[in-house]
Amino acid sequence: MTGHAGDGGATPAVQCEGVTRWFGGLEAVSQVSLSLAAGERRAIIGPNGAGKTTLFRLISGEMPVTAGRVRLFGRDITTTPCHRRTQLGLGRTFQITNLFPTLSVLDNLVLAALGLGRTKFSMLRPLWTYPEPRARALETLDTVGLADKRDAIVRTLSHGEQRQIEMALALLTCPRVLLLDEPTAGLSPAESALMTRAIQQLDRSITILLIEHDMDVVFDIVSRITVLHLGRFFAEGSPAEVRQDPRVQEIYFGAGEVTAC
Amino acid sequence: MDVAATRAPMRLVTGLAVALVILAGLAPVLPSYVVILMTEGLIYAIAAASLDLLLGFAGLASLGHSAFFAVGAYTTAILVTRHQASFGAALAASIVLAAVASAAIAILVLRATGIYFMMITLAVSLCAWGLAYRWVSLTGGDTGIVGIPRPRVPWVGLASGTLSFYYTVLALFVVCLALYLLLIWSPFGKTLVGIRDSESRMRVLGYNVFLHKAVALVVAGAFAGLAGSLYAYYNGFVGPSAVDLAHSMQFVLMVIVGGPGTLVGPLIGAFAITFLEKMVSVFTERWVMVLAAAYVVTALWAPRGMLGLLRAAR
Repeated sequence: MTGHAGDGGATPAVQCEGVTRWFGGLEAVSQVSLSLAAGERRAIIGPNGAGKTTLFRLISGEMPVTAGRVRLFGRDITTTPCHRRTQLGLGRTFQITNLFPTLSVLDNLVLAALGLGRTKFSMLRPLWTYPEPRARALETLDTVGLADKRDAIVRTLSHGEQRQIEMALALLTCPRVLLLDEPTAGLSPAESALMTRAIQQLDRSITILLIEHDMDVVFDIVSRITVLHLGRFFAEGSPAEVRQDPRVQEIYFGAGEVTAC
Repeated sequence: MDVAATRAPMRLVTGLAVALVILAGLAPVLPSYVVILMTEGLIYAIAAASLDLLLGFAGLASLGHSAFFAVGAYTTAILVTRHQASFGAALAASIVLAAVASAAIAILVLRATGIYFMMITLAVSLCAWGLAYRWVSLTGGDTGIVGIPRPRVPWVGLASGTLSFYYTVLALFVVCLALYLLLIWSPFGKTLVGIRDSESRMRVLGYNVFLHKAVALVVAGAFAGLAGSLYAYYNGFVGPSAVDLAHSMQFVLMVIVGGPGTLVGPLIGAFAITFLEKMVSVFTERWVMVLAAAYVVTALWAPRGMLGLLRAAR
């Protein structure tokens, strides 16, 4: 064993210790601690404004923490820039589709395939003379079933297709930890089921942290759920436990007593 | 190797080759004042295309590009008039100094994005003008530097005639054009377009966005420095007017009127605006007003430039 003793004896894939983020006078994420074992599939749920996406941005390094530490496989990455974290094996998808709208589907994927290598700095040789990124892009394109759309400009694709590319881009960075921010956002029930299956079929060695509102999707994918509320850790447990927790129902639906303040 | 992907680039190269042959072949039969204007057009085309790398490809709307053009122009003017530098030495020094200046400025301006990037590059442009105007011992202040002779070119000799100088500029233009094409087709060129479309996505894909933008600024600055150097030889005089805001805006307009992100568009834009300026100046002194009108018309009816208009018509 390499790492020191964690929950199960092995080094956690992702570990947040007292992670905090202030926006001016607003504490968006407050003292959140969280530990994911390697290969674990975990969901983060919570009502709007719970700080789920902000927590993702703190883990991925898009935004610096105000306080606390973030570790990736035991390595302290609290001050590591976002692109370095990707090179260390951290992948991420966005809740609001974030692609290269003016480029073709293939070029979107090729850019993702170039991200980790040195080829990206090459200036005096055309991109089409590099077979490797293109081959990887085409392979992934086949996996997500968009091979016939490879020359389409991404802006012209349907929302469902764009969500698939969103996922494909993240997979091309060969992540060991994957942060999925509402992968089924805006999808039809049929598309959502397809996306759920695709996530289920991902390599089991990939650790997944998932933000999702659709509890059916959550149940199908994860074994544990962490609940955030108003930026704080609120509850944690198996999907069944969390679903039956009356306090969780209360923050979602406001059932029970009215909070006085 | 992807054969299909080479089709559009090959068409572009063919088109450009035809255009270059026409540019080279027509010059001897055209009146000399037209050849002089074409020379100026080529110099501005090099500068406008370098700005297009930033504005059109990387999405960096720099209003300070004339600063690097001016670094090249002043470097050449000073080296040639005070140190009798050769053509090659003056060109090389202009390119290197403009690239170094660009790297220094990049660290400063890349902290800002969007409209703030425009504002801070605007400030850079004004500072550069201030330096040119006030640092009299180096730049000659308002008087500028006069008496820059035409270059002595290897194999050609003194390019003092209109035609020999035109062909010298054309040869360097072809070299620049080849480098521009390689750059926009290269993996690095593609990363610039990725940054234009989504910086946040590029970061999570593992790209150091700052580094790519900085390299783009340095490369564009180097080409602008080369154009500035040629401008000094062309004009025979370099003064603060080479750095002023109108000049910077003129580069931006060449790119926007031609079609940003197309490379070819800004080349056309540079020729169009150079010729338009000289033709309008015959009739009125209010050239800037006409330029502004051209911009308004472009913004309203051809937001993707002349090239965009042509493509839409097809």
